[in-house]
Amino acid sequence: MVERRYGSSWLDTIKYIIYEGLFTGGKAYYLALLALLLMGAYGLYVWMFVQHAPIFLNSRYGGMYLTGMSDSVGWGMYIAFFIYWVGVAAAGIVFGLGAYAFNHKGFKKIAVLGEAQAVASLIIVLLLIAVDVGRPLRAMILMPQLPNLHSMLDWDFIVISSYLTINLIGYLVTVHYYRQDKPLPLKFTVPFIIIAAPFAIGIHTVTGFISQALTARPIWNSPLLAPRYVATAFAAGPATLLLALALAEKYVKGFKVDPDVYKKTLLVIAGALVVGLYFTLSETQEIYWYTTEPLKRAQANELYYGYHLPYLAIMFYLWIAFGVAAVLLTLIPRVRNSRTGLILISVLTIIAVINEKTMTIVVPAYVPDSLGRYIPYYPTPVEYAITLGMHALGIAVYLVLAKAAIEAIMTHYFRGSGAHH
Amino acid sequence: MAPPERREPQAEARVDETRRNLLKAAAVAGGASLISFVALDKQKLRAVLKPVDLGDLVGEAEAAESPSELERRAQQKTIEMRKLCMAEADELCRREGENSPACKEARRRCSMIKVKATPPKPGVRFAMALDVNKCIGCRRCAYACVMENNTDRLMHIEWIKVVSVRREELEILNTDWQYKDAPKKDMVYIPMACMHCEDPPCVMVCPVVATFKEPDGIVVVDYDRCIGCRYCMTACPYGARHFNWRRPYVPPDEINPNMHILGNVIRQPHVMEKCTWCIQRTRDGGVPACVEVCPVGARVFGDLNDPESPVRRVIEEYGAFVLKPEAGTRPRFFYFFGPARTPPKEGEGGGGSTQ
Repeated sequence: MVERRYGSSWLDTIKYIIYEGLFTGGKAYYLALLALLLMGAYGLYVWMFVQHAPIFLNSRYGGMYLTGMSDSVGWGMYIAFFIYWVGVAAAGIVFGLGAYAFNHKGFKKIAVLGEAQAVASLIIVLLLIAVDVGRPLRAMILMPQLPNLHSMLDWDFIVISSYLTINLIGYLVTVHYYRQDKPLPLKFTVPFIIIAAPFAIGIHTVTGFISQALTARPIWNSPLLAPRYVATAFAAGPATLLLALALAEKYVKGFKVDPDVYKKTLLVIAGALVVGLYFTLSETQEIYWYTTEPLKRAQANELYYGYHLPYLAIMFYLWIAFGVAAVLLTLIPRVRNSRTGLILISVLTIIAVINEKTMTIVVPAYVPDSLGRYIPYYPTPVEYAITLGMHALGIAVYLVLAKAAIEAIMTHYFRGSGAHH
Repeated sequence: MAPPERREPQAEARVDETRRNLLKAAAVAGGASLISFVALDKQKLRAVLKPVDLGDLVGEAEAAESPSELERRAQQKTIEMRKLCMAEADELCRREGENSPACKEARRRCSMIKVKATPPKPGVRFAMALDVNKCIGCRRCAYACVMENNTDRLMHIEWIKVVSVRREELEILNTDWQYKDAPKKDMVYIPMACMHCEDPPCVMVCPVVATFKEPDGIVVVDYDRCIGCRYCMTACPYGARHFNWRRPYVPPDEINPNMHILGNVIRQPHVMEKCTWCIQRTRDGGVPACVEVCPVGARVFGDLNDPESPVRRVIEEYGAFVLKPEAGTRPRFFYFFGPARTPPKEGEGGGGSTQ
C-alpha cells in the first residue's frame, strides 16, 4: 500500500479523515460498514416511502398511522431512543474531562473517541427527530425562522446542534494535531472543555425539561426527571465507549488503552448507576408510600405492575436487576480487573440503562392518557425498521470517525513523540 | 496582509479616539438607564421596556397575523379545497353514476365551498358552559361536530369525547369513554373537548408558533405551519388535540362548504387539529354545532365580557367548576350542576339513544 502524505492544512485533515475512514479498512471493516449502510438505507426507504408517503410522495396511502402511536400515545419508540442517545452523547464529556480537566495521560489518548461517539449519537438523535416529526421539511424551514422561545423543543434543538458543532470542532482539531504528531495546545483544550462540559450536561437537562414541566403527564411532572436522565446517561455513555475501546483493542494492531482508564471509567459508571438507582427509590417512595395524584399512581402502576403493557414492568425490573448487578460486579476486584469482567459490566450497564431510559420513560406518561383511557402502545414493524435504520446510520458514522481518529492516535501516541513519556 | 505591529501613530491615535468615544457613549447610556431606573415610574418603564415579541421581528409571523394576508390565504385555500373536493366528487360519480343523488349532492357542495378568514370581533371573549345535570350522554354533539368540522372519517377523530362517571367522585381517571347505554341514573355524563384555556400549555410548547390563542379566546391551529411534532398533544391535560395520522378523507357529499381557514378546512396529512368552537359559525354570530344540536339544551355559549350573556348568567346563578384546575391552565369551558335533572333518578336506567 502506498503511504499517503498530507500537508498541514485543515483541508488535508478532512481529506485524511475521509481517506483513513473510508479507504483503508480490512475486509471485516467493509463488511460491517456495508451491512450498516444497507440497514440505514432500508430504514430511510421505509421512512420516506411508507411512513411518510403522504408527505414525500403526496400519496393517499401510507402515513404515520402505520406506527403504534395514536391520539392517546403521542410519542413512542423514536422519542424513547432519542432520549437514550442524547444521554450517550452527553456522557462523551467524561473522557474530555478526564483528559483536559484532570490532565490524565490515558484519557488524553482516547478523549477524541468520546467526541466521535458524541457526534455519532447526536446524528442518531437528529435522525430520530426527523423521522418522528410529521412534516420534517416544514420543520427544517420553520424551526429556525419562527422559534418560540417558550418551547423547550426549540431550546433542545439549539443546545443539541451547538453541542454537535462543538464536538465536531473538537474531533477535527484533535485529529489535525495528532496526525501531525503534535500534542494538543492548551489554548484549544482549556476553552474547549470550559464550553463543552456545561453543554454536555445541558443537552440532557434540556431534554428532561421538555417533559418534566408538563402538568398533563403527572409521571413526568417531577423535578427529578432531568437529574435522573443525566445520572444514568453517565453510566450508559462511558459503558458504550468502553465496549468500543475493547473492540478497537481487538481489531487495531498495536492499539492499547491505559488500564487506569478502564478502572476510572468503571468507577464513574458504578457511581452513576448508584445515583440512578437511588433516584428510582426516591420516586417509588413518592408515588407509593402515602397518597398521590390518581393519574400519577395509575401511570406508575403501568410501570411497576404492567397491567396493560407487561413489557414496561419487565423493562423496569430489568433496570433494577441489571443495574444492581453491574454495581455489585464492579465492587469485586477480580471481575473489574479482568477484560471479560469489564465487558460484562459494560454490557449489563447498557442493557440496564436502555431499560431505564427508553420505553419506561416515555410510554407510562401516555398509558393511561390524560383522560384516563388505556390505549396500549406496541411498536410496529415500521417503527422497528426505521429505528434500527437510523441507529445503523449513526453507528456507521461512529465507525468511520473512530477509525480515522484511532489512526491519528496511533500516529501520535504509539509511533510518534507521544509514545515515550 | 500587513503585520499588526507596524501601525502608524496616526492610526493608533484614531483607534484611541474611537475607544474614548465608545466609552463615552457607554457612560451616557449607563447614566441614562440608571436615572430612568431610579426616577421613572416602574410600571410605565416596564410598559416601555416590554420584551420584544419575537414574532414582530419575523416577516412571516407578522404577515400571518394581519387580516389581509389571512384573507389572501383563504382565497387561495378556497380554490385548493374546491379542487380537492371536485376530485373526490368525480371519483364518487364514477362509482355511483352521474345521476345518483350522492353525486349531485357532492357536486353541489363542492361548488358552494367558501373558505373565510373572518377576524375576531374586538372586545369579545368566548366561553362555554355545560349543565352536567342535564347531559344525557347521547353523543349527538360529537356526531354533529364531526359533520360540521369536516373531520376525517377514517381515523375516527372526534373532537368531543363524552365520558360517563359515577356520581360519587368526578375523577376523570375513573371514567368510561366506551359506554354503550345512556342515560343511567347513577351516572354523570361529561363531554370534553378543547377547554380553550387562558394559559394554554399547547400554545406555550409549540416550537413554531403554529397554534395560538386568538383575541376572542379561541385557540386555533394554523394547518399550514404545523410541523407535526405532537408536543402540544403531550402537553394538553384534556386530550383535546388530535393528529392526522394519515391523509384525511371526508366523503364529498358530506363536506361542509362553510369553512374557515383556521377551522374546518379539510386538513393535510400529519398536522394537528382541535376544537375551534366552530370558528366558522361563531365569528359570524352563530353558536357552535354542538350547542345547536344538543337535544336537552345542556350547553350554553356566549361572550364572557357581556354581563347579559347566557354563560355569565349561569355562572352567576349556579356557580361553575372546571376540569383539572390543578393543571393551572384556567379553562374557559365551565361545568355546572343546573337545577333540573334530565337523566332519570328512579326506574329504568336506559331509554336514551346511544350510538
